[in-house]
Amino acid sequence: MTNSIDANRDQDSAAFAIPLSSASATGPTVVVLATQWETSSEAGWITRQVAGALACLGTVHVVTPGGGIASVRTDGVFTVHHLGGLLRPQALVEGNVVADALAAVDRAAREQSALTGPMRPETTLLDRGLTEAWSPASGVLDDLRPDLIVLADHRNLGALAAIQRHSPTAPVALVALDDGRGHLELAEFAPVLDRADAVLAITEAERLRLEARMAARGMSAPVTRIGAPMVANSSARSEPNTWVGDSDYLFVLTDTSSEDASVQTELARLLTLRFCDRPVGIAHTDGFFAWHEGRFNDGWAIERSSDRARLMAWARVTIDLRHASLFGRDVVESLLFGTPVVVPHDSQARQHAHLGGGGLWFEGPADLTWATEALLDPALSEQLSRQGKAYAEELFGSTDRFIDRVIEACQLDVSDLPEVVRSPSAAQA
Amino acid sequence: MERQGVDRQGVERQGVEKQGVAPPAIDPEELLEQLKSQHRVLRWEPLAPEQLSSGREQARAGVNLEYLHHHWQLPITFTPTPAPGIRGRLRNRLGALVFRTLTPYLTAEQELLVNMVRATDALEKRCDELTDRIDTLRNEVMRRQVAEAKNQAELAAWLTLDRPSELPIDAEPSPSASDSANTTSAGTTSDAANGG
Repeated sequence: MTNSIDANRDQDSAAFAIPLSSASATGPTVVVLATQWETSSEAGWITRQVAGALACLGTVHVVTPGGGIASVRTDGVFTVHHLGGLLRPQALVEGNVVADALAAVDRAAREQSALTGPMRPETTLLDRGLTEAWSPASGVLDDLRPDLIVLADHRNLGALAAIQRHSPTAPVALVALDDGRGHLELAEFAPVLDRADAVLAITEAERLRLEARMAARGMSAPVTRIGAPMVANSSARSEPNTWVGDSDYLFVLTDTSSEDASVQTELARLLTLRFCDRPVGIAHTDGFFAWHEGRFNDGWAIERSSDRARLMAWARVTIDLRHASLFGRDVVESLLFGTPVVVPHDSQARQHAHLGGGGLWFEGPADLTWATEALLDPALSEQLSRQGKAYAEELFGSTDRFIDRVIEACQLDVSDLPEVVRSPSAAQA
Repeated sequence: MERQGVDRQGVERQGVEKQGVAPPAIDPEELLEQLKSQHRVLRWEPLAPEQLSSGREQARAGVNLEYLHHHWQLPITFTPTPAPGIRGRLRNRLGALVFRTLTPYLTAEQELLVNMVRATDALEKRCDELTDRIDTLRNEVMRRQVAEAKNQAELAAWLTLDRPSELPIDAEPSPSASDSANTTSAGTTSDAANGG
């Protein structure tokens, strides 16, 4: 399979500028293959943003498995094709668990044998339950005859198989969605990377991981960091949240219940004890708890992004105890509000604190308290706030720049299109 | 490994700088190192518990109680002494008369003394019991304090460990962490052992 992909790629790799076979005034036809079409997760949200950016240029069809009965419906500017059938929710979880286990095995083998030992045989466990659901996708692709196929997630072997059945030479842009868990190194997923003509990364850290992996595979497809389109909600600064007021409070984000015996809950409790002299607002899954001087008021769980934004905008420090699933969207949003952050050292969100200088990170409870204490110093907080805001605005704070980067990364030949369609930001300027 | 990590971060930073973002005036990494070095001198250890009581403090006032036990019985009858002559007989008769007159009072007096000595004995016994109870309670409280302190030491050691999810299954705690735990709790437990 890998050989045939390489052979096909070789034919096209000389000059990869995707010609628009169906070029017209409406622009190219783009098909996005995504296992899940939703916005609750960071991966789902960024996939939708990429699709939205491409919708500025042409017609975007989204193909997604599951949905019971095969159907086509309109979702905003997108036409969504549900392939039908049943996509077991457990299949994704099982796939991730197996991938985590294999990544751990490979990591241990590499450390022990210093890259010289025999590698384990490849497994097909990763495909189980996911590949079959994508079977009808090749028919949809045949019908749509897209100018560009956008494949979401570098682990999407089912969609890759559908693309190969449709056309082994069709241009493919891969939104890698690598979460840094080591899945990128797995040989099982390598065919997806090998097949991509262009790879889109969200952050600089992800881009470097992808480049390293591509170089190791001997592939030369360009990897482009596209960032994400985010803006600080200006209305969030208009009125503080009454639970914690507008004084110098700490805003703590968790993804655990207040009654869980988890590390996050314990760390949040530690913060309420250490910083009992100021309000500490803790967002648990079962409610929002505002602690001050040993007493607390509780309220509904923070579910609306506008509430979360308001709390971040007025906070002195945002402490995100969660491990960012992809790039730490809430942390970037906090930096856009000029609120410094404290994050776990092994979270994907650390790169924003580190590279942007917008906050600190911690390994244990002691580091957490020191880092938080440091950020309560007005002068230091002011400086980190400025740094983090500049970083976030430059790399994430512009929708227009995001659209330009996505279009450029996908290497669509748009010379025949009107200026207003070809470069929305330039036209707007 | 560490070197690679540093290199990688450097490359990441260069990549971001290429995007037009100036390097931060305050480097968070340097700041964290500075914070760690500042806080490294502070060490937390549990409070050493008070030494446990080794002997009972009895309420017994040995000499006085012993005297009471030996002298509670007063003479309530007249014992005539053989004495020749009228004077001797007269003294014996007078003594017998006086004692016969005072016998009810002396008997009552003796009863009172008997009961007072018995009450004192009971009080002494009760005092000893209470002293024992206080000692027991105090020792229990101290043992509890020792256990709490040990628990706090273990908590402090646990909090400085990596999260359990990051440790491989069956992994031993890192030497530094376990050393720290031993160091922190050893003083307490040995104190407890010595005291207990």
